Amino acid sequence: MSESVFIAAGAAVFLIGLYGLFALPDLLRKIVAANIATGGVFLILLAAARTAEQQTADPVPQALVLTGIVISVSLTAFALSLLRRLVELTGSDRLDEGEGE
Amino acid sequence: MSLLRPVLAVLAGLSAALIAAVTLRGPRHAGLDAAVTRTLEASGVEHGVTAVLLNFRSLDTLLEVAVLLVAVVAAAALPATGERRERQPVENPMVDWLVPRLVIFAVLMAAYLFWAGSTRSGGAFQGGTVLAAAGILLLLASRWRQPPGRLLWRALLSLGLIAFLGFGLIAALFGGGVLVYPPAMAGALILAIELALTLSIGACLFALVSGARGAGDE
Repeated sequence: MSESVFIAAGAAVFLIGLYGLFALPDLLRKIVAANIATGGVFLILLAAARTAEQQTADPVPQALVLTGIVISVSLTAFALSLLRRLVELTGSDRLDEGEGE
Repeated sequence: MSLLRPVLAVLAGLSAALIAAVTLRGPRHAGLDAAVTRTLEASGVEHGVTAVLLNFRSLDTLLEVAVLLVAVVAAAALPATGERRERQPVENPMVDWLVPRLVIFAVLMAAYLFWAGSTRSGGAFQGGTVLAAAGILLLLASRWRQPPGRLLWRALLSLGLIAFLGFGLIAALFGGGVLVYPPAMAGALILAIELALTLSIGACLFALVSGARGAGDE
């Protein structure tokens, strides 16, 4: 059951990414944290893909993760272009926060 | 604000623990490995992951290529930056010597990865990424010429999606349905689709990194 280690590690990485996504004020760091969270999810998917009987891994989760990586790259690139545009327009790299925070 | 972060940490921890618990303690399923191995011969390729990506779940891959293209279009739709810094061309004898050789090697690598997808790990996405990396290397070394023309560049970006859709519709003429490849020609169809996809994914990824200038209004 050594995949339990990887599942736990993937969940930990997901935790870090999720926390960073919501807690960090910088938009760039939020984007990076979202990427870290997707890395954690891929780790969980791949760790759960190993079947106990054969040593080969289930190919369907591997294909899902490949698809997920490409989509995450595309959307990260789009998010970064949006961030660059936001910095151009407003000069700040964080979203508006309320007074007194 | 001082209370927010611990609460967020606890919530994130709870959700991660929930995911881990469900994955670890959930009912063990045998997985789809046996099903894939059983039908691998009818898929036209010899590698399980490639067969799933390009035959059994080809709809997912089609939509994924569409997402990639939409991201390029969306990034290109943003207005160009106001000021362009004049980029100093990189003058360095090591760059002069290394970059052309690395680019040639990268193109060879991309071709091998595309070809190897039929029998082992590899395929269109892997080859396309290496092609995009070669383009980024040229861009960073200031040796990237302008893309050959807006229409041609846009055609290259959308070639993968169009080929995928086109071959899927052609496969429907053989009676199975859209994206259902008859086993006799599945191997050739998949290779043709992967060729178009490799070029197109390389162009799309490069366009995403270089700011999608060539596809926009400039």
